[in-house]
Amino acid sequence: MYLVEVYTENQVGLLVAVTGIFSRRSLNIDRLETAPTPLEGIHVLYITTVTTLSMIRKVVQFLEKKVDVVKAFYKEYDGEQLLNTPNFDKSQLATVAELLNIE
Amino acid sequence: MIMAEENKMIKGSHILMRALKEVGVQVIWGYPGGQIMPVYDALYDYQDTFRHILVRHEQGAIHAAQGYARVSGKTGVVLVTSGPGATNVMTGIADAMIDSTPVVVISGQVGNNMLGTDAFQEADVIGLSTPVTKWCYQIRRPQDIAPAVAKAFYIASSGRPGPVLLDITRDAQVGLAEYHFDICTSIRSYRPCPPMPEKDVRTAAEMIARADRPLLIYGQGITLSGAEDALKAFLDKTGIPATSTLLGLSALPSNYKHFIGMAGMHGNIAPNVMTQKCDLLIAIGMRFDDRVTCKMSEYAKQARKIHIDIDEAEIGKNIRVDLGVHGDAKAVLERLTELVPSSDYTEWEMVATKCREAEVKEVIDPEIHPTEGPVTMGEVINTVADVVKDSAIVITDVGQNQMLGARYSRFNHKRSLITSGGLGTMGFGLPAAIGAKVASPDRQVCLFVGDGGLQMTIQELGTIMQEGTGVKIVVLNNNWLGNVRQWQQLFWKSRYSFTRLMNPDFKAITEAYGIKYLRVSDREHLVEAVQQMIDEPGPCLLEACVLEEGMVFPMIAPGKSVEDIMVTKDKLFVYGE
Repeated sequence: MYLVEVYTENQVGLLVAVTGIFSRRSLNIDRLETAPTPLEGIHVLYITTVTTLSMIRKVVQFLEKKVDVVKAFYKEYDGEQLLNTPNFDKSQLATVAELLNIE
Repeated sequence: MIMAEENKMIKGSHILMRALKEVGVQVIWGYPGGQIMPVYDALYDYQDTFRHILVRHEQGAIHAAQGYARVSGKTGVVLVTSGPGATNVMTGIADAMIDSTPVVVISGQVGNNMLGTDAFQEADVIGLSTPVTKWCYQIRRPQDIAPAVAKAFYIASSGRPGPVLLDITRDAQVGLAEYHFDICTSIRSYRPCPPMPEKDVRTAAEMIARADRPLLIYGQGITLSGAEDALKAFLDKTGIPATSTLLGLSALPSNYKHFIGMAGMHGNIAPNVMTQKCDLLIAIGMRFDDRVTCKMSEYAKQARKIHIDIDEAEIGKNIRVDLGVHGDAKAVLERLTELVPSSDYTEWEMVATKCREAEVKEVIDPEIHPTEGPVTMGEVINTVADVVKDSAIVITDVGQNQMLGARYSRFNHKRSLITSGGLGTMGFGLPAAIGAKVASPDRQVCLFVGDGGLQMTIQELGTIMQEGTGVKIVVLNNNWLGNVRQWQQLFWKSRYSFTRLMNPDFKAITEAYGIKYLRVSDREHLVEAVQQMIDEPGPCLLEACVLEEGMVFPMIAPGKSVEDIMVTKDKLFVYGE
């Protein structure tokens, strides 16, 4: 199982665009959460799915093709941890902030 | 005075007109209707600014905009109403998405308070278009129109181009706001142009220098990047043989010394054979479509592979490669040309010569120079190429006309083959030809279309009549849905399930639209008929009554490797025989 973390502009309809990338490849979404991040206007989507490493890499590349997606990350997920922890992944936030030129 | 003008409150529909003017729009393809009427009313005041072309069906508008965009390199613009107006353009949007064509579609939408109520002519256009657009956005306030237009044109045309849809509610069209326009040159979440991947380009140059039998395959990325000259310079220096995908055709002149033909299912023999013999495959601006690779697990499996593409998601998507180079085709090719040594592959290119000789004997000559029997499709296409001296913009529909149009047309100018490659949309041809002719009125535009595909968008003869668009339409009439019939014959035991067409009187239809009609059914009059069509100053439709059960060969059967090349229905090509 993989956890995909997608940092996006907060745009109406973006959730459909993101989940569509999974459903088009017959990937079932097991868990899904969204939350605002400390970066202004940027939301994060947490999505878990069962698939292969090569497929999840392709999914992440297609997510990043979306105009309103800033960055997507993936990692193995054990099904235990809570998705939307109050402590955001600091290195991910730093990467996203750098891409957006936010101090 | 200027300040007063700047601060003036104007309707959203007028903001749209001014913004479209600002981004340089010249031609709009459209069809009015209820929820786009405020925009059409504003357009009435902008008739000197824009050329609006009234089509006969919204699908015609989007395909015409695609033809216009692909010939001109500019972004095509489509204007339609809500509900059915918008749903009717979805096929073309999906087509533009898969063929990377820059178009901006503007659809009307019901009022803000009616959204989601199943109002008359309401459809969830954003929901419908999300999977098939590069970007789509609903505008509900007039002040959001100008920024959205600026963003839409930037997204559609930058990086890997694609279709963008703006859905504008009635409130946004009729509401008042000040006009402010800022050109869009960047979006913080969007990185269309990767920096030069210097390290990867250097690695690619080393791989090329070490190769004994390199083969280059290019796609439409060359055209989209404006890399035609850069590609030629690279090939001139290295001497590497080059093959094209369907959409890459015309990026190099057909008679260019290192060009060995089109690859894929109905491609030339040489590139398919050499794909399985090369030790290095350099792919540029193409996406390893299954019509190119055929059986993917067998495709060039002996070769190391380099894939150069502006879209990172394409690298490794279908075919695993040894080196991905994420970059713009032109920039990468120019840098590569500096880094690679001059070389000569005369001996390796002899494989192409031998394959070509065999293909001429087994396939090409029988198709384009038959001496008896009815006229063949390839014969008609070859005759058109002879008469126009390889200079026409060729448009095809989809099916046998498309494959033969690609195989037997010849090109001496870039952006000269416009066809629906990825989606394979029958009905694309006629409206796309109109778009091509509007984009390039001084060049001959010749459409090859089957009797089936013509009838999918035949109503656009009305657009041709109204606009006087001088397209030359060659109907290859075999009274069949020929490509499906060919598959039924070869792979479905000749069970011709619903592929026989009873056709109308094309002469009566053409003449009813006031368009010149010609007909040819025998070899003796073919050249004369084609010449007469070309000499006609305005639009002209030539109905060529061709061999009914004509086939397209060579062919790689579904599920087979690119080296399993059928040259007739019961003969496989064997190299060296």
